[in-house]
Amino acid sequence: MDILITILSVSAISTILAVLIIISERIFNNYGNVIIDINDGTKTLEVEGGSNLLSTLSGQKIFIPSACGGKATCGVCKLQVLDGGGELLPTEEPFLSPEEKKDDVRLSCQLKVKQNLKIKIPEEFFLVKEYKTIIEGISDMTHDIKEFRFALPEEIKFKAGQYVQVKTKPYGKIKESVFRAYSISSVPSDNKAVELIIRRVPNGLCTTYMHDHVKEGEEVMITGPYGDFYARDDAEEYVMIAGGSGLAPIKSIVEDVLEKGLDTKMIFFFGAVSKKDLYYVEYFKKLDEKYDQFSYVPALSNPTEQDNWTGEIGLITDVVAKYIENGDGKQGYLCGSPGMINACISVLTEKGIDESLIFYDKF
Amino acid sequence: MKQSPKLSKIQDKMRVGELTSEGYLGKDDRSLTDIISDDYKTVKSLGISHNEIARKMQLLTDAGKLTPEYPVVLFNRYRIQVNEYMGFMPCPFSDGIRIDKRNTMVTDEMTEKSMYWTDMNIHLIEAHGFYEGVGARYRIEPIDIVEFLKAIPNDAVKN
Repeated sequence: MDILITILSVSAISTILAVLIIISERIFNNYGNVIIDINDGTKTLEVEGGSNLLSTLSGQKIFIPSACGGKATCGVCKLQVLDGGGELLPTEEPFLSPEEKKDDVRLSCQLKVKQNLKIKIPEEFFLVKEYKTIIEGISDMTHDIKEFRFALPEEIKFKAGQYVQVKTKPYGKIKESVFRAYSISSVPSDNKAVELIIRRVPNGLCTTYMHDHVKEGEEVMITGPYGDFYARDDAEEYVMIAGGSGLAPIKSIVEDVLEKGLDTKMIFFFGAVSKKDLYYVEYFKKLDEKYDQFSYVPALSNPTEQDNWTGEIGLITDVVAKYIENGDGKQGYLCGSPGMINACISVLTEKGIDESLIFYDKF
Repeated sequence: MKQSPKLSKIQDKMRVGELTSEGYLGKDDRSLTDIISDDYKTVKSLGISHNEIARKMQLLTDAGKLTPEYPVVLFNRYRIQVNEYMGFMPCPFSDGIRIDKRNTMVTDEMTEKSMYWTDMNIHLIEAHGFYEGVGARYRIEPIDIVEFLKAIPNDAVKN
């Protein structure tokens, strides 16, 4: 009997405590409606307080890039919060430089909207939209690279070279959605769809989802376009270097320049280990033959005997150094692994291309 | 051993599907504090530090980085192949460090034994003394890695 009374007492106390917590949360965490002033009054939002700034803005269809989806681990979702942000949180500290702290930059995923805010959002983020896409096609490019075509419900406006973020659905043991950035490989005029080239990353959350779980006809959410990796029109020649899935934005830029009839010269170096890592070879060879302004230089660092490779052999940096005499009138466009990008920046700057004229996405 | 709320939060981020598809903990049901503490004891008993282990791993990775996806041999013994991917990984300890997605496969040609690690492994060992949970895909067993790297002279990784 005593045991029963004890159990009932503990249960009653627990229930009362739980009710008290719920009531106090409703009282103390009810921030009511707050006003968010964006870019000095250019846009004003009235929103319900209590959520973080990143999700509050996405609820208003303003999409801030975030690679980790609000877990305070990627540090991508930075925004300037001029007023109302409160104290900097310990979870934000490691991601902000002294200059950024001085400029009131905050991680929007960590900042809770509790009072009226004054924030600054880069203009290009207002062009970002969310699209409910349908996977229209999946093609194997190499042993670890696939190309996906996402049909869009409405037209998208982007610059060749920009990227979108793909939102995964929970799968297998993965209980939450994640976001990952991928460059668009299709041309901007093909505006009712986007194509992405995705290389499998071992243990990768999103690449595993795309390679193993997504099927044709499936719905996938994306947001975009993002990024400042796009072709500038003030160069005589683009020196473009890519490896792996880094071919994607270069393909988009090349097609865009040719389609618009611009007279910019382009040389495209694609580095791979052996023939099994090459793709779109015939496509670019044909463009090379058809257009005087375009040259294509695939190079293999370690071709096998069976490859019967007669093209360039060596590290892509050595091949670039062999072909590029000087940097006069040239801009660099790089897409690949961080190691490849760093090595290519060194080669291009040695050839005389100013670092400010070398563009790349490191995501 | 007692664990701070901060470390418990970090441990939550290490679970399957949080930051990577397979997480950092494997089937290890110990607290993060215990995992780190037990590995520390092992490393200490071997007369080496986390830092020395990490620097030896980094030395091999750096050699492989010079020719990505193409094997090189170092110390006439270690065959190294580095594979690089686009993007970065955020450190699960939320220290603001972003780690390049790079895998290093090393084979000791004398013993034919191979070991495999990521740039994240090197960072986690050096900065946090964390070798991942037992059963995790990229778990580095301290005893194995120390034995594996023993042919690298200490002078080669001096500051």
